[in-house]
Amino acid sequence: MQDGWRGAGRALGIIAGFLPIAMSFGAIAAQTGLTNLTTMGMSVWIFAGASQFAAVEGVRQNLPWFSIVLTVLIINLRHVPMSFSAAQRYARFGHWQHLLLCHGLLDETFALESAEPPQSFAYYLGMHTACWVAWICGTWLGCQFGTLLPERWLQFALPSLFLYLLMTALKSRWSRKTVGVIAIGIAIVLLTQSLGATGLLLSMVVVAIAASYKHPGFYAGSR
Amino acid sequence: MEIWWMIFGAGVGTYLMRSAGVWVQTERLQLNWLIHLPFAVILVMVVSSIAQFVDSGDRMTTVAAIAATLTVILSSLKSLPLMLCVAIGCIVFGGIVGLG
Repeated sequence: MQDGWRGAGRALGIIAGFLPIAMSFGAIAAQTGLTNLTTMGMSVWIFAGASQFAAVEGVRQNLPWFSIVLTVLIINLRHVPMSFSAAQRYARFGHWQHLLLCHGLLDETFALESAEPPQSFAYYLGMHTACWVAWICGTWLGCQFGTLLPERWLQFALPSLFLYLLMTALKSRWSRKTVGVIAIGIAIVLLTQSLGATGLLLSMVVVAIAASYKHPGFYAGSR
Repeated sequence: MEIWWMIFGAGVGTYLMRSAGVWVQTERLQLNWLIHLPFAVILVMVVSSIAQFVDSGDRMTTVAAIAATLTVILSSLKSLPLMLCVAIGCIVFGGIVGLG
């Protein structure tokens, strides 16, 4: 139980970044004409920020439902390689525990977990549940009070979180080869930026392959 | 009714992708690069999230993003806790954007 609360506490940085995004989603969905129930249903069941925004845009444009589903799945395709990598971390848990943790596998939780030594199931569950509840609460707040967002004060929360994790990873592993991997990473992200979520997926795979060629033992997350 | 099919289909599909590691045996795929994926995700998310602010077209947002980035880098080099670094980044960004 204590591990669960510790995991939830660790997720506070993510939650700070999540709330304004979830509130924006709730507000936009409400303005599009979605009911509170369907908007909340999306946050509970899909729980994937960028793709939910895309789904609402699809609804606004009156696209057929299967075309919206396809768009959501393409945006979320990056979860597949993340799931492969996270499976190595979750392998010591039971089958059902592993399946339970999968729902909370996001860019943010994946990055945070990768930067830490292996933790207990309760810790990961606490972290995932806290993020999920924050996303749902943020969506509800957005549906109710979306136009009153203090957005600018929280806009930089997620970039700050990722930057902190990057610096923590680099502090102990800095080398000339690292600079090469970072340069490749910056270049590929900027080049593929116009491709949206597909560009992100492509960039992640290219950087991972570049890191494995340039520096086999460069960064192996929690291993 | 169609909206519920959309939510159901998108949710199931997303969950299946998130749980791909349960269904597919990665040992058989020989994906050595996967161990570098955590770093790749972090690096890509840093660059893309900051680039969005820098490319926003608003000068104050660009300045705020650069200043907040440098502040968070310095804070993490000083080994400040995660939450404090996030808070400092938000205050610097929000403060500078508010000046514009």
